[in-house]
Amino acid sequence: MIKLFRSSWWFITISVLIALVLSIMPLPLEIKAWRPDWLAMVIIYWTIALPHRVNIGTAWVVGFMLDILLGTVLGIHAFAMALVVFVTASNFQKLRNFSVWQQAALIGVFLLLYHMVIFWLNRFLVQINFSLDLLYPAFTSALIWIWLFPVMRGYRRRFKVR
Amino acid sequence: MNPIFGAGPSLPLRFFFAFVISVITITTDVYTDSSKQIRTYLNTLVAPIQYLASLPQDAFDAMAKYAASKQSLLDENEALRKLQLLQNQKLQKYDMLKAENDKLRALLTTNPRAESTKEVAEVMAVASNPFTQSVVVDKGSSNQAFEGQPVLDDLGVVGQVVSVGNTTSRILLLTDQTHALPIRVLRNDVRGILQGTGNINRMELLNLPHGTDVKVGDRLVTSGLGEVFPEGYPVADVIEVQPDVTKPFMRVIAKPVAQVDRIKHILLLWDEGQREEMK
Repeated sequence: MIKLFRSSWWFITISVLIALVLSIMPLPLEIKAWRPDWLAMVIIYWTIALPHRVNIGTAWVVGFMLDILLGTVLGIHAFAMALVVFVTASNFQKLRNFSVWQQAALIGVFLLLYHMVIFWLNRFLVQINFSLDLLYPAFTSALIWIWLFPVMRGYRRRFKVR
Repeated sequence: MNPIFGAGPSLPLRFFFAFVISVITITTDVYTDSSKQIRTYLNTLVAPIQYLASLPQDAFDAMAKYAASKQSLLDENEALRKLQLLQNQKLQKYDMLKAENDKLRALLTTNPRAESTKEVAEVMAVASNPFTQSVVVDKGSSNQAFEGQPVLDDLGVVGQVVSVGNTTSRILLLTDQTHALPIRVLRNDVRGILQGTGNINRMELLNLPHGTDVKVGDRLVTSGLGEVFPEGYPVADVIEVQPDVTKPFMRVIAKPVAQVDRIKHILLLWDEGQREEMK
């Protein structure tokens, strides 16, 4: 049991680390604003698939790491991530039964919420102005989800992450 | 199927915990100074991820260097040689002027200007959040980098260090909207405060009364009054003056001298002897 627990965590950690690297990888200026939320998507996937492994606590810690990496006020991404995972975890059984396209649409909506929360908190703490390109990642993420979901499922089944 | 929420607290309770902890970390980070030390540890902790993320770009750069043709290298070498010659000639004059300046200052019984120590750091290829203008560089507290340290490039002021890790540190660029620095106009010593706007090419002079002698093309240099930046380094050039008398103050827009949007190498600055003290 202990061994199983360890190996599952190991594979989840690897996927999260890859997502973290992808979230801070430099992108050309033209497509920078469209960067998908890799980390949020990976965490949402694990929450849907294995809610007893990845839940609000994990989401908070991972969001906190993103805060450090991006140099934002500590806790902003952590809170937004926890909120999104709270919504996901409350509905994980419904989400599992949706088709990938329906899931993608919902994930897009969740990520709109995620970005709005980050914007609101930033607005409250640092003076910033709203611009529509803050929400672009939600659209790209929804599109990427259609590809990411089968990939993550394959990964989970291949390595028997439970 | 696993008994998913059989063990542990319920979902709303977990979320409530996450909310409370977030409020605590956000308030600690924004309203107290205690997070500086914590951030140093945390930055050190995530540094491997940053190095990993910058790997592809580094590899690409290395490949580009390797693939450069012999002729282009020779041309570059030639151009650099010429540049060095010109700069050495300027430096000779500088040495002479510095000696003269020190003598004159001695006559006025003021202290000679302190020399500063510099070290080159490389900007790491990692993205930052879109709300602030900051970059991560590959020098940290193990290289005696410290918070509030002035940062320059070969043309002018770039910004200052805001958080330090063991091997990395984050630099807030002077065009960030939370950054302001005291300047003076090189031509006539008019003093002012220059604030970033969040736009890479625009900075604004704050609270300048109407009729102040500032013209388009004026060079703004650090005044040394804020005790972060040493005196006399170029900061920005005035590109726009709007003397609109219906507004309480004059609107003066300046463009940073440093190439803030394409920096690759920067200089970290220490006062004379400061670095040795920190070792």
